[in-house]
Amino acid sequence: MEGHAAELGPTGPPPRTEVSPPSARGPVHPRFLHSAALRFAAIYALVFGISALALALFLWWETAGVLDRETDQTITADVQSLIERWNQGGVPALILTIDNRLAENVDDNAIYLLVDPALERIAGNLASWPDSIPLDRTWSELPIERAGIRSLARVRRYTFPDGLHLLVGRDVQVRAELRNLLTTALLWALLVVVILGLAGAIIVRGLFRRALANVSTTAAAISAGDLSQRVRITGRGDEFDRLSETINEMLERISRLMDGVRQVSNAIAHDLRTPITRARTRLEDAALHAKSEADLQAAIERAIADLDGIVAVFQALLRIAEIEAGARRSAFAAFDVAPLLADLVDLYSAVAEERGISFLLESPEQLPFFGDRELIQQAIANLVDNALKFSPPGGMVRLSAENTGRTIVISVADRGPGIPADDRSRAMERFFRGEAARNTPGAGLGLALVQAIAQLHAGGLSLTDNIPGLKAVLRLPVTVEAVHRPPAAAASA
Amino acid sequence: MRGAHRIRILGAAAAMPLITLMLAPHTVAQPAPMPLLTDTPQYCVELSDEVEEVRQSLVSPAPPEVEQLAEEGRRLCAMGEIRGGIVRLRRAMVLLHEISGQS
Amino acid sequence: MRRNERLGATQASEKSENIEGEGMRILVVEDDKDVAGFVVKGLRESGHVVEHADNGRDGLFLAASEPFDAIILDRMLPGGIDGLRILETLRSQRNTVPVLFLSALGQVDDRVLGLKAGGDDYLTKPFAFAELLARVEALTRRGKGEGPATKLIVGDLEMDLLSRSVRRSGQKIDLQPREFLLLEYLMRHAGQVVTRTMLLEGVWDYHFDPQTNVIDVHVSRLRQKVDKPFPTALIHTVRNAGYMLRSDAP
Repeated sequence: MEGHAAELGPTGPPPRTEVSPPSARGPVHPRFLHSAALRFAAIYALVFGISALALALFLWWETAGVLDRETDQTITADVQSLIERWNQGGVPALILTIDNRLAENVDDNAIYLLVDPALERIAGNLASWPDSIPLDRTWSELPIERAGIRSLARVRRYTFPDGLHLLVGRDVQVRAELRNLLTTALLWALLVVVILGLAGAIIVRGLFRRALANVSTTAAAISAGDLSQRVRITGRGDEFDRLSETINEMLERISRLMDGVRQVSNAIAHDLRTPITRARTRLEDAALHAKSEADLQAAIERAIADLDGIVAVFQALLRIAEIEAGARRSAFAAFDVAPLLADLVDLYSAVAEERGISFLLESPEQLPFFGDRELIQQAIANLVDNALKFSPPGGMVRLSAENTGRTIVISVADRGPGIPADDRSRAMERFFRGEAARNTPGAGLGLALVQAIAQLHAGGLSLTDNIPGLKAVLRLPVTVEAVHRPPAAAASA
Repeated sequence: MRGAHRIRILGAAAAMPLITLMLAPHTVAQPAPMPLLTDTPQYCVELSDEVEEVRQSLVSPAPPEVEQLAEEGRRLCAMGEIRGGIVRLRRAMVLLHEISGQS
Repeated sequence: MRRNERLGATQASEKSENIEGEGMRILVVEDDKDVAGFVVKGLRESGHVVEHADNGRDGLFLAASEPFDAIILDRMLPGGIDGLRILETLRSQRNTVPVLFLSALGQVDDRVLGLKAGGDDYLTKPFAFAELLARVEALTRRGKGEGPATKLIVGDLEMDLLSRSVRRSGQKIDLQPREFLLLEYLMRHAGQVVTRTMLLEGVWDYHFDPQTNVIDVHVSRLRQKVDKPFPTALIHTVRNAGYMLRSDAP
């Protein structure tokens, strides 16, 4: 994924004749700064370099720096005590002190010089005032010669109120050499750091590009139409893997949705053609063969009924599509499922009674839930409706609900013909109608809708053999909201 | 990898100023060094005489190290090891001053 | 929606059964020519005075400047102002005229939005004219602002809302809770057509089209208790529309 991939194609030859691996998207670009991998690597190198520099400076400060500071402190203390002597005993005492210090300088590193205002030497171990030291500068570095060997001294000047000038210093050659050694070493080290940093940056850039190459290749393949491609997972479980997993999930979902769309389009073309054709045929037949206004009227009415049926199918399809696209999650609210069940049982009990089917409800007093009340109502109604439709007279339909703590389980069991095992998995597909259902009205969308509703609520629908009959079980996970928010009072229409 | 190659060149170019800095101290002109008067054979003699003077002015005799150090110092100076000799004489001087309570 | 509807003569005769025969002033704001023509004609034949606007601007102007008993408002309208905006504007002007929304948008969210904005009822297209008529007339009855009553009386049927008891010709009728609610709804809409969808929504809070004829069964059970033991029937079936509670008072 090299930034703005130059779409080099039929418009002209590429600026560089370089062979890039087929997996990379595009060749090297004129401005390498556009590459994210390189930017990344450059940042790495910069951070590395700055850290190393900071470390080096700190080391230098703590070693050579300390030495320098110590020397200066010693010299300053020396100057201070000489001033004291002068205060006490004037110039003669000063001269005596200087001579004594020189005679006792076991470290062999002291430098003193006392001159009169005319710069004539009075005392000390320098022959004359050094040319390189102006009379207004306090600190200086003075090259000296020790028994023929060149050395370096650090000196401090002090001028007495009566015009005498004093120079006090120390031989710092050893320290200067140490400092040079340290500085040189650190500078060379910095150079090594720069090289290492660059090398590291190159490696980082390579890793970065490799990690992303796979994703970009897969993405390219997919946009070219091959939805079966997936991003490779390295198994390391790192951020790139997680990104790849997410992308794969997304691709999986897209794939499923597209399959769904294909399925639906096929089903629509297939199964809806029938009622549409039937309506059309009837109307055409009436137009050609109707003998009276009453005949026409009847034909028109039948056509309206057919169209209403088709509209119902479309609405159900639309609803399923909406639900699967997750469009309805915003309508979620807290409510109690128990009264909803009671109302449904009440509504359908009349029908059950009429058909001689006993319809039972087993449910706790309260079932707090967080979801779309209307959809849940429709889902359960669908299952009850199915159960009643397929139950023989004298049969029994049981609607039971329980709260396992983390899930609400609602089951509708009947003693009808049931669904044969092999058909059960397909029963929830759109437009599927089993053998037993061939002659009953309906488009076969009921169970598909219930499943879509269940999945929207992160739950599921399962069909099992009630031996005999069918048991449809709706599992709906209870979310935290349901527990903490009191359900709203049952909404009236 | 053209890109990497270019990076290397840039790195080397950046290193140039660093190298220059390192060599700098050795190329800039320096003023003529000043000799120390306390590194001369004359000073050695001066110091030796002073050590003798102080030693003889002591009330009680000096410990043997003093004489040893002074002897060594004189010998080294005579051999040409000025600085070594001066250091020994100074050490002798320090000892003497300690004994005599003076410093 | 599954019921057919007969136009023309039959409608007029059905309309004459309606006690609330006095025509109402109804405004129809709908841009689809066919649907608008259909609705306007049907309403006029039912005895109402109908005005029509085919875009948002005209609709808002008419609604704001003339008094109407009810407004039938399409959600999607040309002219920059849609149905929802018209309603919000009217309500913000303290105009409380009952409004029924028509829309091709069937999602519940749209319905909720429409009702929240101040609408009184919502019908999705395609709809049966009988449904529209029944709901509009129910709206206007509601709009006449009846205060809370403690008793409902239709003919010789009396319902005491406080004690939850029902008497006909002085005789007590035993009703289950849901049957009571069903009868209450019919009584509150006495003299008006009540469609099956309205009963499902109003009594059972059920918003879908059941595959079975549940409502018919419930009404039939109610009839057994309220009509059968007595000489005259109060609960009438309105063909292709729904039901109506009415006493055939001379």
